[in-house]
Amino acid sequence: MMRHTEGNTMTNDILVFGEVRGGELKKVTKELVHAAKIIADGNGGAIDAAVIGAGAGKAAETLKDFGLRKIAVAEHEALDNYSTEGYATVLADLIRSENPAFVLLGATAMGRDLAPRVAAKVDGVMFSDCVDVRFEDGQCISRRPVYSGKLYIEITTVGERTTFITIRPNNVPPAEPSGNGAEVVSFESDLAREAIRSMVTEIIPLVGGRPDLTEADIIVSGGRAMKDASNFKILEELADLLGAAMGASRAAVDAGYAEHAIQVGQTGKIVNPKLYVACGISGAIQHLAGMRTSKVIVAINKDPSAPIFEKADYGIVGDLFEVVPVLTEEIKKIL
Amino acid sequence: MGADDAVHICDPALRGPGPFTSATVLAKAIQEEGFDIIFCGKQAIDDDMAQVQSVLAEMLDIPQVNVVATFEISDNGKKAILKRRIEGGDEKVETQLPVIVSCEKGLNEPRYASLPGIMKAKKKEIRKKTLTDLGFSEVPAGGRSRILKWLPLPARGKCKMVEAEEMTDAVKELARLLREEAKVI
Repeated sequence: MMRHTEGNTMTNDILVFGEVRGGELKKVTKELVHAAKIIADGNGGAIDAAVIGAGAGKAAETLKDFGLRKIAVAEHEALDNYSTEGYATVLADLIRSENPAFVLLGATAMGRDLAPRVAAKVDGVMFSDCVDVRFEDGQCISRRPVYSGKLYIEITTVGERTTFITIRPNNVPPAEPSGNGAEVVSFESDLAREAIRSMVTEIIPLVGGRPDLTEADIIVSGGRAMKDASNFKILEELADLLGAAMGASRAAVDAGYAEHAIQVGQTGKIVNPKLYVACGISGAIQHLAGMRTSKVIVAINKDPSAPIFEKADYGIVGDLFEVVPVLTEEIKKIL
Repeated sequence: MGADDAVHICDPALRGPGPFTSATVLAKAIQEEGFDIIFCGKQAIDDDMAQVQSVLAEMLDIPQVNVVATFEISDNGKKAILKRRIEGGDEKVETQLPVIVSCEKGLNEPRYASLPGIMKAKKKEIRKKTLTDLGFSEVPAGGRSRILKWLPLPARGKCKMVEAEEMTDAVKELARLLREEAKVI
């Protein structure tokens, strides 16, 4: 059992936040462990993890053989549902007693909400939505997109300050198992349910049961040329064949063809799949901001001068209503 | 739009403030004004950090709800019920007031400014405040990070346009390329 104690000086350790959703550890956690190893290779220090909430103990077991020193598990009735305040209190207490130099979280809905709050609690500094970290010339350098993905900056901490880095899912490879089993310890904070003023009461899943956009390996996305919500069915057939997530451009969402929840772009989701199939999407900067880092981009568009072709790896000039059903059939044949 | 009052925090020393600087200055200004709910955007469109609202919430010691898609007041104005976007769905959140809410697109349909509204707005004073007005003798909470480099995006190879006499042949070739060359399906 660990208890919260005020520590002294900063170590060069790294703390990884293991996000649990529906009792499962998020895929990004192993990617964070990989990033932590890059920092530890350059700067030394041990890697610890913190896993919070219902099912944290079980989720922590899946992280045991990844070269971590210790995994702090916080389970408490006040932590069963996510709350910024509850989770931030636990993480801040843990950071104050362990004094890590770096804290890594996924750039997920939870990580983006939690990290700045904890950073404020411990008066740290934070770099959001990073796509890469490395250790060079005695400093940890984080790379992150700015101006809706038109440029990257490389940024580093000034002075001795706990550095929070959120890393986008699917950017860093997951860590491979290594080393002996980490020590799993339970961590206690002084926490009362009544003291938490804001809490998640329910999670309402998107209907469809497709993979999540931000974690999907393949995304099939439709634009304004879809003409109607019902036409998304032809994309769904391709998506289901590939086990892909569905996306839409802002133009399609604004026209009411798709839910904002699946919008890809600066005001929607930022995605980074292995394959992004853009159907009837012109390639506005707002959309490119959300998908330009995809490994392979396929564009299907009637207009040969559509800007999407400048960012795509493979292009077909043609009517998506003719091309997509044939593509589905052809892929069916070769899979 | 219907705002009753506005304060413009404007100081040449506040060029390119980091999130902690912005939040510290805003916290001071907001405390002077008083509030029940703070609405803000989910992130800036230049540095895309998405930190100010959460740091501000901590400084004001109030709850935060980020990336909010629906918002309603309940319990006679003591609480609010919100939905916020997460991966694969929505989280329903119940919060006490005061609270800070960062808004997602689609939260509501902004009204058009009416002509009488525009006329009235012209007479409103937008109060300006400097760091000194807010009681700061220097830029607070700055100097935490340093940008080492600005980099262009790595260039993508040229797009391979898949063409054929018959559309079906082109599509067939595309499927083959995705399978055998790109190895993504």
